[in-house]
Amino acid sequence: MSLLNYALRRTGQTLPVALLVTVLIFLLVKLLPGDPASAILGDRASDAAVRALHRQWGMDRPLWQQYATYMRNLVTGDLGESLRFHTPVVDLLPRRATVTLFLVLYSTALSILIAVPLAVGAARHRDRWPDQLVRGVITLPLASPAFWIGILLLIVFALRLGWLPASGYGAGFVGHMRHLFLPALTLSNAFIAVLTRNLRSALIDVQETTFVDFARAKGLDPGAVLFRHVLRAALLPVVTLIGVRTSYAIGGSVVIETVFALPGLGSWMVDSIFARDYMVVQTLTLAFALGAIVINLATDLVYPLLDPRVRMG
Amino acid sequence: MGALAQEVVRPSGGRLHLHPGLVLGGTMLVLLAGAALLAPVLTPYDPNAQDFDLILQAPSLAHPFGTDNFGRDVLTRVLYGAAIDLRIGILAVLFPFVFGSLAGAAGGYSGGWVDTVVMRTVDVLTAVPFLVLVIAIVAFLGPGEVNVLLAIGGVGWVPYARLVRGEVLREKNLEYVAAARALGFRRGRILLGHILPNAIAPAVIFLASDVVLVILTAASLGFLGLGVRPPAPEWGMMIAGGREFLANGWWVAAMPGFACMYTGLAFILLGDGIADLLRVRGQ
Repeated sequence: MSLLNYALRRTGQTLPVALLVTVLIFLLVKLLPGDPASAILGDRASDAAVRALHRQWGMDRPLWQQYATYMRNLVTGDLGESLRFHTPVVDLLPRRATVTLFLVLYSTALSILIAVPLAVGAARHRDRWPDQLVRGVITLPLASPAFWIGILLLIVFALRLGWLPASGYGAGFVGHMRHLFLPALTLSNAFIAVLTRNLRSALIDVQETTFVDFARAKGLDPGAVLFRHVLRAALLPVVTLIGVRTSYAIGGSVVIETVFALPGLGSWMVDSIFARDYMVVQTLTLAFALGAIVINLATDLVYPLLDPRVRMG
Repeated sequence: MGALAQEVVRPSGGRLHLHPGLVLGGTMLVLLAGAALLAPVLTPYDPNAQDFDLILQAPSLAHPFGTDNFGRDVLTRVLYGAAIDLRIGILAVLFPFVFGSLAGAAGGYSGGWVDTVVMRTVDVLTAVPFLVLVIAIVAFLGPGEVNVLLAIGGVGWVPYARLVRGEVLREKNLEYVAAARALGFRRGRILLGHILPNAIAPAVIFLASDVVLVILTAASLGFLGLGVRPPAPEWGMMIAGGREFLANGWWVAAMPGFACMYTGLAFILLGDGIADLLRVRGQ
């Protein structure tokens, strides 16, 4: 029952934030200087023509009325039209969003698969050369631009060795996995670094607790102690990181999709900026924000299921 | 800063103990800043001079980083670019550091509606992925260095506000604050003169890693074509320019990235050093 209370309370905290985010993004377009009307009509349009379009869009009405209209449109699924494709944004959104979601989840999975062995290895050989090596190497992606790492991976694995495709989304699940491997690896670099670093210190902390001594004293073999006791306890504090880092990954996907020419939301946003397709930019900003909010909420909701201490408390 | 300097050269046993990260990171940065300032002396080439006899030359003694598709010397452009990327990196954290710290301090100390306004703003800005929001702001402001600074500054103050607010909440109930209040000091003086110096350490520690984040963000904007305007030799934009020649001129895209990584490492080392020193001082 307390679990349900927790879930309701946590979700309740999220709703006002999500609502304020819509206000922020609405104001972003209204208050910043770019004018969608002159973007459509061209720079040499007459003032009268611009004013007429403003009136047609209701931009001459008070700000709060415009926001009310904006929200009504959002709720009814009217996300405006892409000027470039002459298609409702809502029709283009699902396909594009699938690519980005696939990329972000893939990169999260890769991060965990790579970071866990690195952290376990480093913690086991604490302060000896494997530990020093891991800690040194994971500093590099934190200091480098992700898109540049992507380009290096592309040069080596796609152009030189020819092992993996250099761009595109591929067909079918296996095709997606192959095509998105380099982009996902690129996107996961910073997360691998942060995850390895945090998991390593968590592992070292847990190894020194009494319940691990007890498990060892029972005569359990070291592998069982590691996987069933130490790793499980050490992974818990790291779970909350996943939500935060996924939000970073969503931001990073905007750039990485451009590097690998992926037909996702991020490359669409960049294309729309250059096409001065302001409605699409606004809608995609909101889509990214809501995606991040939902993922953060989801990790917070899953957390107590994993940690009995939170569940009871 | 005076206190920091004391720590760096703290005499003990007749020898000077220097923090290795601080020394290494500091040296790397001094070298980079020196190279950026002395670029006109260090290299015989002009960063924007095109030479169509020297297109896409591989790295050699005359051109250690090779030449790009306009025959420009890549090393020269990387050196001149250092001034741009360093300038953006440092300028873009100054406003967030000052404004964020003050906003967080004001919210934490006053509580009430001030705190509510600050923290709800923080919540909303945190909810949108940082890079997405910065790109969106630049999309509406238009590209260019000033707009990049405005966009990063407008969002980047959030972590400082959060860090300083947390510290101020803890400090404001300590005895020295009560003593200052009993002495009749004004609120502003207590907050700025007494509490803030004790609450600023986490924000200062964050500063170094934030410079790295900001430089990488500015490079990302440059890469997307939303940053500094061409032909300025900004690193991100140079990497973007090299994308078409990955097969026959990998150095055009690769070299500016190494410069970026070097800079990032220098600030990370410096930041770790500062963090260690401030922690030692705090104990």
